Amino acid sequence: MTRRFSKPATRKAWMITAILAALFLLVPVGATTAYLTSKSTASQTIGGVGRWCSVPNPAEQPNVYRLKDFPTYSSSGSSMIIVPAVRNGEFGSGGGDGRLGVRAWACSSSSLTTGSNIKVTSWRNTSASPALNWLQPVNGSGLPSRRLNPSSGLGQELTKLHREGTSGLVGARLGGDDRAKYAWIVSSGRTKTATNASPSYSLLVHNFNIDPHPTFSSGFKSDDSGTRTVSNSVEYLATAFWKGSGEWSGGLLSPPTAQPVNLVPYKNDITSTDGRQVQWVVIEWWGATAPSDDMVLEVFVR
Amino acid sequence: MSLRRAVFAAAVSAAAGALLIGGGVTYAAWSDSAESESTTVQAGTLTATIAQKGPTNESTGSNPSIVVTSGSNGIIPGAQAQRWTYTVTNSANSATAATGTLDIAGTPSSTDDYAVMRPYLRASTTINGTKKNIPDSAFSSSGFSYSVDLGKTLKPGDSLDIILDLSMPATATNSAGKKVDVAVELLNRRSANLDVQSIFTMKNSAQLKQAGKP
Repeated sequence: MTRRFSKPATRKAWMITAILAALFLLVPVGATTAYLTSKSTASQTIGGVGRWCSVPNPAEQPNVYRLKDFPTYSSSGSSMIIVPAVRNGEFGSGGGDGRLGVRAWACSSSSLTTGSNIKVTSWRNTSASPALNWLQPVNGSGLPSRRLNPSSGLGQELTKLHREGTSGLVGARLGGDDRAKYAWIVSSGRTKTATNASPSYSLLVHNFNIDPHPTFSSGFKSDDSGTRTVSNSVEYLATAFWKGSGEWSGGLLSPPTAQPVNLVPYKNDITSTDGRQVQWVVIEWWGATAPSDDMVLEVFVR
Repeated sequence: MSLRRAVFAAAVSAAAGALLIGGGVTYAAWSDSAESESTTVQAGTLTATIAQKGPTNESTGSNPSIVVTSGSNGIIPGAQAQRWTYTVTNSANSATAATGTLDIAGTPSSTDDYAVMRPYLRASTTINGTKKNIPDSAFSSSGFSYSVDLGKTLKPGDSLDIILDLSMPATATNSAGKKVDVAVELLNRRSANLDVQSIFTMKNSAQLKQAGKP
């Protein structure tokens, strides 16, 4: 080494070479394999939602019933279904007090006229061996999909009570033992502006009325224009004058008191008579104005 | 060779080597990009352009339980999608063919709305008639981000159309395994009028890269 750099000129040459080599190494080696790239960006746009109204879909939720799909019952042009409501998760996720109820949903106001009527009642079966004659299930095979035949057996009995009340009374009034079968939901004076109404009870004759029932106009709410939020459903909760396992809550001189209809967990006894395991919900509409597709009723147990 | 000549030759050789390596290629590696409407950014001799159409409203079906307000713009669960069409072009002036991606970059404009709608947002692309779903994971808590492979080499002067659809289904299964009526679930997140209620803003890019070895 000493010999190699013995001459100053040689040393200088090696130093210059070393400096240039260092500069060479500073050039990024990776760049020697770089690709050509090019990027072009479009202008900013907005992704978002539009405006609609909707109601629960019966095809997906069997405890939702589209009025338009009801079979016509009797020659009066009435359309009706009778479904068993229980507390087993099929009528809602539960977690609440088990109260039975109905939500009336709608969007369009075009069919919400006074020309048609809606009536929803609920009943306790009192026969130890009721004749349960079923129609073909709809939208599934669970209990919400079941339909009791309104023309025979228990279905016929409930249909008569729902429409005419106790035999021999004027109007759709209930007396005697029938009083402790009934729970009002969309009946006995209830409307969308009076969802907690209860029937007036006559201490003189000890009976009360299932009617009046709301019209489409007074029972449903349509979409509100110009707002993001919408309240297009009306919630009606089942209430009765009986308590416990079907005991009448009134006395000879004292009127009955309104009681919430809370169900207990279902024990697979569809013939139960206590009114806590099974409630038979009768839903009926009739009148000149046909319901629109978006008019549905949701039976729930909260 | 004299010493002086030797030193000079070494210096020239090294400098030339460095210059050769630091030519156009290194310029490409350090190039950057800018953003504007249909911005064209050149890197070396490769030039990408992107043209954007939309969003338009596309019907995704009908459902008697969903009432679409006539003339409404934007996504409607189970009924209407938003569609963008991008045309990515490798400029005729480019010196090379290129592959590339459409890079989607969406930023939530309403954190609350986006968080509620995110589980139901669906996206797909259609290139040359072939539709591919974008994974749901592209919608993260920070926004909508995904790179769509163009799947084709674009020669100079070639273009490719990419259709991007954003939608929401009528029904979906939530994290608890329960079937959800999406249109009902999101009813109070809808637009108050016919205009789109913004969930996020999107600024998408086309990225081209020289095909083959440099």
